[in-house]
Amino acid sequence: MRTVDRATGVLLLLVSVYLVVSGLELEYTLEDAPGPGFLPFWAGVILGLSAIFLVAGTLVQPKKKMKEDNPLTGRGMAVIISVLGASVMAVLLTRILGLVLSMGLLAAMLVRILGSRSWLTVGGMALAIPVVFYLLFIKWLGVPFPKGFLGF
Amino acid sequence: MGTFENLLYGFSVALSVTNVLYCLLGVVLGTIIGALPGLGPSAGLAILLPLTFGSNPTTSIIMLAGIYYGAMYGGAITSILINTPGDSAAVMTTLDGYPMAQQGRAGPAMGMNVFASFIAGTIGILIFMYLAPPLAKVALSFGPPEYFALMVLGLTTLAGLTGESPLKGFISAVVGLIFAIVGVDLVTGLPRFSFGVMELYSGIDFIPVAMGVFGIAEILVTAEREVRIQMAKADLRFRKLLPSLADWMACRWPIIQGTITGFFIGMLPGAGATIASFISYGIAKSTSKEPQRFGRGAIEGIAAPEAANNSAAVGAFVPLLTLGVPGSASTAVLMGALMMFGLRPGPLLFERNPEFVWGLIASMYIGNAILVLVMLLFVPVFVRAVQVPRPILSSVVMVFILAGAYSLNNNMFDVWLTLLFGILGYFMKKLKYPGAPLILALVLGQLLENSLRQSLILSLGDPRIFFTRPISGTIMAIAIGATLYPVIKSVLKVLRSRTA
Repeated sequence: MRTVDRATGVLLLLVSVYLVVSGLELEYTLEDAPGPGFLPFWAGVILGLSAIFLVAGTLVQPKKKMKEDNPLTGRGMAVIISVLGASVMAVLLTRILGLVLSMGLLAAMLVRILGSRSWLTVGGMALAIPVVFYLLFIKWLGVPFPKGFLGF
Repeated sequence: MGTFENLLYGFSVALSVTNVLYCLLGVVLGTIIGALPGLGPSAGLAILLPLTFGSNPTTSIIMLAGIYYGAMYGGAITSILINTPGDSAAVMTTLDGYPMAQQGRAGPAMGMNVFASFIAGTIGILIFMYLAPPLAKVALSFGPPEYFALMVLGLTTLAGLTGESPLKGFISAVVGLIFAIVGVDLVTGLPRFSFGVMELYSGIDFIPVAMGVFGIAEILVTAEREVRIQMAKADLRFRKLLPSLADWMACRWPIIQGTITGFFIGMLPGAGATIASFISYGIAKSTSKEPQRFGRGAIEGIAAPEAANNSAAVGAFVPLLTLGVPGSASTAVLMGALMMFGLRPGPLLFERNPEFVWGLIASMYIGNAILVLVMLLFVPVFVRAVQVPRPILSSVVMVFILAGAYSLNNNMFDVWLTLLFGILGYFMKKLKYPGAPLILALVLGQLLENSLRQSLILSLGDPRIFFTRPISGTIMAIAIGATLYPVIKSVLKVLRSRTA
């Protein structure tokens, strides 16, 4: 966690510098009252100070007290990338399939990625989700979901 | 009108067929969400919020309130049966709930959870009913400096009390505040941090953020690890759920203690149901004649924290509805929802929208009664819901979140935003940054900036206005103390460990 905390601290420090500069570029005061740059400026200052404390904490804390375990493991990241990749693909496919069908497809992909071995479950999700979403969102809640080439 | 007449009026609103059905739907869905490990009331509210689109504000908030306290009831189911709390407020319930289940007493444990929650919830509503209107009248005299101070207090205490590191909680709140700045500045019309993206001109809506940070992040974190549910064998037929007379005798004081402790801790910004349940359990143990039984299946160890967390859930409505300042992530989501429906929580709500306020109060009584019936009759069904394989549950929740995000404004931008905040929420969870302060800051951001500006206009730019007025000065002093206390504590700890 030490290295990750340090890296996060540096990243937050960069963001804080950007905020302070932006706060000064947007007007800081406006006829004696705070302008649009006032809050970004101070949010940047507070974030910067917090980031310094975060990094300083990793430097002064005795090594044995802070575990060096990396919370972002390779196996974990592979699952996350698969889940997010499937989600991004399904959202992109909405233009062609419509939201109802693409969400059915996403549910089927996710259930497989997340560990279901049964193709019956995968197929069941691909069929059940579009039906439930059609009835719930389109018929009951009246949400105009983007339509696909099949007309829904 | 007196309080009793107002309540009768509230019942006339809440007892319409539509409102009762929405309340029932809310408590059932809330109980299921609460029972799922990882998904607590705030995630439940964010995920299920789209179901209220298209309904009137009163019906919507009745359903959302149902989800909120349904999740509080549901959190205990998995605590008792699988030693895994549904949400953080149910952590203390595992200490005695699971040992009771192992001893073959899952039924009375579950029953006591239901009855303690019901009694505490009902008494909590009673206190709320008599306390909130006078408090709202006092709050009418508050000006921008007092509101600014209250919001700062809410943010600093929540940041300091959630998560493992107060500093990380604090950073989370500041990041939330930064997201709240995005969009066109209402005073000058200047776009801030919109980067030319048209959809960002109107700001970042809290719903995609809450759905991402609470919902998607939880799915991603649980996707990494294999979850095997090992459930204690339990006979949950109706008659087995009823606690014995001895159980009742042992629990009568812990329930009352939990109710009172929970309500007043729930009212405090940042404290909430989790801390209420911790403190109430501690009091029950320290005042018990046989404290050694706690942690080994003492039924009082379920009664006290469950009474406290349900009473705290009602207490949390006090600052939300009377001051317009939520003190927790769940009430922040509720406040965001109210604002989305065109209602501005605060002292004027009692005067301007009595049908809403009293309808909500009456619906809490109805919801609590429905919950007792639903829990006693359908506990086995909820237990089955928890046993649905995790891949199916996560997939359903994920697609529901994305479809819900679309239905917010009927555009795909919100879907992308939800996914982005899901990634941010995942890294926050992994790096131990709590999500609650971020959501609260995002919801309060605009109000905080407005009250800051108005205060400084009043004082001609002099920031001492926050400290020289008695109420805002006191609140600011508490907020500064709450911020500095963990910093001083951790500095002293580091110094001590270096000298040791």
